[in-house]
Amino acid sequence: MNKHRVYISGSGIIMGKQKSRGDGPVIHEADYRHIIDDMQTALGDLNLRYVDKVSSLSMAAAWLALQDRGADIAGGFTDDAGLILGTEYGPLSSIHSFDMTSIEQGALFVNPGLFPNTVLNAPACQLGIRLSVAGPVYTICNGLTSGLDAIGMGYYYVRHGILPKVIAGAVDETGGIQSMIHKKTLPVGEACGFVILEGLPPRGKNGLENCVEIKGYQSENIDSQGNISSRLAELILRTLDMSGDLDDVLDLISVSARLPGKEGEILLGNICDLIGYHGTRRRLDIDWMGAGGLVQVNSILNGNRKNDRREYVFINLDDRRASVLALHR
Amino acid sequence: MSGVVVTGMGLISTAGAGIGDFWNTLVKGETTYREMNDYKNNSNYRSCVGARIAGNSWEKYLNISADGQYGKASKYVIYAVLSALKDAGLSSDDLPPERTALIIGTTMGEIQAEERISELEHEKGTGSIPEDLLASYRTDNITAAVMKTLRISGPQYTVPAACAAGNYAVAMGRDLLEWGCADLAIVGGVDVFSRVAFTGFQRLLSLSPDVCRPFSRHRKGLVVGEGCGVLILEKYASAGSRRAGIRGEIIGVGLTSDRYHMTTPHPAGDGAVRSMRKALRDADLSPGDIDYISAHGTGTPANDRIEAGALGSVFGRDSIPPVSSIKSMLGHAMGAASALELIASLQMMEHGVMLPTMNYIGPDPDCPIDCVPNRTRPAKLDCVLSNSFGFGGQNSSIIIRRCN
Repeated sequence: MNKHRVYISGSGIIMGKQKSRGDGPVIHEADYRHIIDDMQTALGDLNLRYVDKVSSLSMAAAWLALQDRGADIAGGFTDDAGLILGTEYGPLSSIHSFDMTSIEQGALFVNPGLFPNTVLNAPACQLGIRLSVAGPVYTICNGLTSGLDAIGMGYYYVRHGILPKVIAGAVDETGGIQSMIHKKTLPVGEACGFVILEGLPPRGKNGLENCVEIKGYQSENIDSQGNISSRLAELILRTLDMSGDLDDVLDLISVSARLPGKEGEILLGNICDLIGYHGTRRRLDIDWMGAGGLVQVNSILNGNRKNDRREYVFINLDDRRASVLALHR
Repeated sequence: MSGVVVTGMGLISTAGAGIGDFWNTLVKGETTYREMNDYKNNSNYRSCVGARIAGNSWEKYLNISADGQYGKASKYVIYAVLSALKDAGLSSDDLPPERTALIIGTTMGEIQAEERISELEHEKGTGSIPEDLLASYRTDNITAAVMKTLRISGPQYTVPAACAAGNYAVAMGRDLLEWGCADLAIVGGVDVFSRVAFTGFQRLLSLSPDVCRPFSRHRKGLVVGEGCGVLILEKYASAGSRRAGIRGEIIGVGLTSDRYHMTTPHPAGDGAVRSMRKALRDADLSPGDIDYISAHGTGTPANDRIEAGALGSVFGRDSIPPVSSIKSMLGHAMGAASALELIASLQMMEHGVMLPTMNYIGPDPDCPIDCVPNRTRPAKLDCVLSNSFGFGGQNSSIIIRRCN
């Protein structure tokens, strides 16, 4: 089977803002309402009456990515596209709200219009309906690695010629029951981001000079026992298809991990030593939950290449799994 | 044969916790749902019929120590996976740890954990909710529990896709094998009985007050159920090299989206038609090559009508093969349904028998199909199409071929 190169042809991200240091960043409707309005101007009434926050955010961020790509939705851009959405908690707030109404007031008092929001694939399907996505719509609930895993699966689908394009992203919101369930080692933030993956290099604004290609993706279960640094180092080298001494090729290594400050720094330091890299390293200091991978990837997409180093590595690590995505500019 | 084959199957369902019991119950045409007293005695529920797995004797086979750590959905998956591996002639020691993939689909994940959290919040406040109950909600526990039990570390995905979840997991497992990302894929679907789902379907007026009678005149709706179905997928060469018994071959997959509505299928069955045609193209078959169709067949007036229409569009109104829906007996096991139906289809091929659509009263002119009403029927089945069309317009069609 022929393998295709996979390019990121568009991207969009909406990230919460911190009210004060130590608070988790929150997204308010005012932050993305104008994007939804733009979307409705272009596509017509989206029938948003019962659509919840995670679904609305997904629509807004996906719209940003599609606009960045210059995609013509009305012209059939999504007729041959797939959609993959990663999320740690999905519409849990809506599920909980629906259930609490049922318990507190009685089952006959729940609003039937809100029931569709209670299935875990609701945000992806709500988005797919508005964008008229005709291909497969996948939701991936893989905890912290959900976003990178969504991009990774999208990469595989385009690379192996199953789909010519995939809209891949992730979303998570905070508050309510998530706050009770989520183990907090860092401030927890809301974000939603998407990338458009295609087998053709993007045309236009930045030219081929700065287009970003996905070089590789790997995901593996990592026990909390054993040498995590070594396993992650191996995973990175396998993803890059390189053997080490990466100072001349790697421009950035970015980690999103649920580890308190010092532990995270030590881990990152160990990984860099093992792969022979002494350059720029970043550790996210906000836990963006399933959307962390999209925050990481979007951070490098809109800049221009500043040097001859062309590779970027993004790692997501939680208590059970590590995912690695490598990009090439 | 050069593709991906099924070498093992395992399940837990209202028809039994094992392939033998499952098959024997269905071949007798037994319905496995009944009135639920806790809903019957609640004036807020107008319907009280549901399919719930009775007892918990199956738990003693789980052999997991962290009892409070995992919710019921995770435990169902562990049970079904261990059964499927045994059926495949494999133990956890036989699995290549980094090359074994696990993909499980679901509609609502560990929803019973959320429901208990809500009850405690209402009764006693959030401070009363135990930590391990909160931790057991994580949706990816469903796959993490299995990874830990089997000590495997390969690709792992929890994929919610509503009623089509099991088929979506099978499709992804096949893809990972064909891409060389794994040597063995454990795939399936799971859901536990959900008060949230039962409440929601009631408010959508989708529940049957008595029985599920797909495609029949006077059908009134679906019956909410639960269960888990798991299949072991391998490349044919790999299965052959260890002389594994082969249950069947996955020869065609079609996944599409309706792009229409969250709860109502496209009126012309657009997504369903495309998924079936895609699966046929993938299998390099024509419609006439299909011997039997395992329907989505929920028993709701609109869904069955649209599904019958879609079958007519693909096969020709007068050339639709026999179609039946085992939801008439199991109820709708939600994310587990498509996996259980695929297992039932493989069993039908093996036994040379089509399972019936039970509770059929008489034909509905809007559903002009042979739905194998009320009795099993002997048939040589070489190629079977299994359809599942989920909430949100997620459509899936899988074609399996019998192996001689």
